[in-house]
Amino acid sequence: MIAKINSAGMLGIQAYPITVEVDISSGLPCFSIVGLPDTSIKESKDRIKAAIKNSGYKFPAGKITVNLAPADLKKEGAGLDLPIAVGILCAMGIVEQEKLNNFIFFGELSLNGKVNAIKGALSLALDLKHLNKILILPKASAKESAVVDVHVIGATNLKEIVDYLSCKLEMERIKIDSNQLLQENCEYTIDFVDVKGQQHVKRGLEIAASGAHNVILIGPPGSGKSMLAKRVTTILSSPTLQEALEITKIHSVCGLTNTKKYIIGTRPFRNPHHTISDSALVGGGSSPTPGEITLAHNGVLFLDELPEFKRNVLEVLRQPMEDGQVTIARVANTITFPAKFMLIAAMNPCPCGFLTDSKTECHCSPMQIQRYLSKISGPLLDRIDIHLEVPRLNYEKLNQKRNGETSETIRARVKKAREIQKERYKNDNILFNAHLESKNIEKYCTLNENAQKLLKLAILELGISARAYDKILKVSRTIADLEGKETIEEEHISEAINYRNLDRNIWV
Amino acid sequence: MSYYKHTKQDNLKLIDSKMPVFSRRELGKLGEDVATFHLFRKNYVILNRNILTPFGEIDILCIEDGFFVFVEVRCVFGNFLSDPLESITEKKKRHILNNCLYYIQNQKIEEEKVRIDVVSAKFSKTLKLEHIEIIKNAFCI
Repeated sequence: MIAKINSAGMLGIQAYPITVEVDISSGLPCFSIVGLPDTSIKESKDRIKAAIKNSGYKFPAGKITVNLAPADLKKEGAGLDLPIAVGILCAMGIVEQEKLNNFIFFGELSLNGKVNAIKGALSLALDLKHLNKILILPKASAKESAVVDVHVIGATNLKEIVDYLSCKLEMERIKIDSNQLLQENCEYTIDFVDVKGQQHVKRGLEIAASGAHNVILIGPPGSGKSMLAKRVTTILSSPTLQEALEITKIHSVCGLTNTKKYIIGTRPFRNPHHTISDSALVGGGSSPTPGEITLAHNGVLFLDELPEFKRNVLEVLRQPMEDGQVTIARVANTITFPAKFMLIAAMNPCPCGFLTDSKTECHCSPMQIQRYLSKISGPLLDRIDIHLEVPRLNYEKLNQKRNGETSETIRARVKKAREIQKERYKNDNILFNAHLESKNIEKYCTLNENAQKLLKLAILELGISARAYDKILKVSRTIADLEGKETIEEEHISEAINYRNLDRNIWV
Repeated sequence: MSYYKHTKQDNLKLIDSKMPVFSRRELGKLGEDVATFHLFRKNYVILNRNILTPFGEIDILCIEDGFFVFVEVRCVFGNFLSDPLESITEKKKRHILNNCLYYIQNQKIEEEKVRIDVVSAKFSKTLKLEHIEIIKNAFCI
C-alpha cells in the first residue's frame, strides 16, 4: 500500500508543496529515499528509524521506498523527517490514509521521537494558505505561523501526532491576535536622544527618513556616525502588519527569529563588515539564500567605512537599489528576493580621517585625498541623495546633559510627511519622493519664483551638474512636505543645496 | 603463522585439562548446532542448513513470523573480551548479502518477505555455553 503525505519545501524564501510517497514491499530490508534529497535528508534515515522505535512502534522489516515529488527539484533541509515518519506509519497500517489528506506535515525529528523547531515557518503559512489544509508543525515554530489566518497545530512528539490522527487525543488550534502582538513587539531599546548635539545631522536624517532618501555621513573618526545610523530605524514609521510579516518571513527563513518573539515589529538594521563578499551582500550560493540587502528589506542597510568595501561589492548594489528587488539566476532556478531598503553610508573624508576637523591637522597629500574620494564610483553616488558632514563634538557639547528631541517626536513628524507623500502618489507606482523619476519631478515639484532664481544661480555659480539638479528638487520636495507646504520655496532649495557636499568638491 | 601458534597454545592448555583437541572448523560446527537448537526452541521452523552457493555458504535457513530468515552464526570460545558480532567485517557482510540474494533469485522467492538474522554465541574454554543471543533484522542494505 502506498501512503501519500502532504508536506512542503523551500525555494529561496518561498514555500512550495511537496508530496511524500511511502511504499513498503517485500524483499531484503532496505530504506531508500529518492527525489533528489540533499545530505541532511539522506541522513534522516537513521533519525527516523530511531524516532519510530523510541515512540513505541515497530520499525517495519521490508523494502521501504520513499519518493519526494516533484522529483526534479532538489530537496533540502531536515523538515521532511516528520512527513516521512508519518508516511511509514501509514504504510504499516497504524494511521489511516483518509485521515491524512487534510494535513500538511513539516518538522525535524530527534532520536527520542520529539519534534524539533524548523526555519521558515511563516513562509509555510503564507504560501500554503491557498491549499486550505491544517498545518502540523513543531510547537516551537507553530506560533510564528499562527500569526497568519491559517489552522495550525503545534506538536511535541511523534506519538502525540499519531494519537491525534487516530482520534485518541484532542489538539487545539493555536490562536494569536496579530495586531496586538505587533503592538507588543515594536519597542526599540535605543533612542535618538542618546546622541548629544549634532543638530544639523539629525535634521538631515529626519529629511532622509521622511522621503526614503539614501544618506552618506562624512566625518572624522569618533564623531558619532555609527551611533546616529543605528538610531535611524527608531524614527522611521512603525511597520504595518504587511511589512512586519515580510520582515519576519525573511528572518525566519534565515533562522534569525527567536521563539519568544513571534513577529518582528521593529525595522531591521543591518551593518555588514567591509570585508563582506558580493554574494553574501546581495544573496547567492548554489542554492540561493537571502543576503544582507534582503535582510535589510523594509529597514536600514548601514555601510560603515564605505571606501574599504571591495569595488565589485559596491557595484552589485546598484541594480537592487534601483529596482527594490534582486534576482539571482542559477543553473537550476531563478529566484527573486525583495530588497527595499534605505542606504546609510559612512566614511572618513581622507585616509587619516581628519581633513574636515578644526583641531587636528590632516597629514594627507592632495593626491591621496583625491584617490580616496574617487573610490566611490559615480553611479553609486548617483543613488545617494543627501551628503551630511558630521563634525567632532567639542567639550561643552559632550559634557551637556541629553536634551535633544526623543525619537518619538521626530517619528511623528516623519509619519506626517510620509502620509502626504502616500496621498500624493496613490495613483502612481511609487511610494516616496526618493523614487521620483524625471517626468514626475516636473509634475510634482513646483517652485515659486525666488526658488527658481536661487536654483539657477546655484547651477551657474556653484557648478552643480544635471545629476545633482534632480536630487536637489527631490530633497527640497521632502523638506517642503515636512513643513506641510505645497510649493517649494527658496529656503527649501537652499537647504537641499547644502546637502550636496561631495558634488561641490569643497575640499579638493 | 599466528593461527598456528594460537592452536599450539590452545593445545597446550587443552592438554593440561585433559580434554580432546578440536579444530577450528569443528568448533564452528558445534556453534551452529547449538544455534540451531536455540532457534528451534524460539519457534523458528528450520528448513535447511549449510546451503552452498557460488559465493559461499548460508548457515541456516528458516521461517519465522511469516518471514524467510537467513541466519548467520558467529561464536567465540574462551575469550570474554571479544564480541562475536564484531567479527562480521564489511567484507563478510557483503558475502552474506550476496549469498542471500543469490538464493532468493535462484529459488524465485522475490515475492516473499525476507530477513537476515545473526546468532551470536559465547562459549567458555571448557566449551560450556555462556551466552546466546539472536539479533533480528541485523542487516539493512
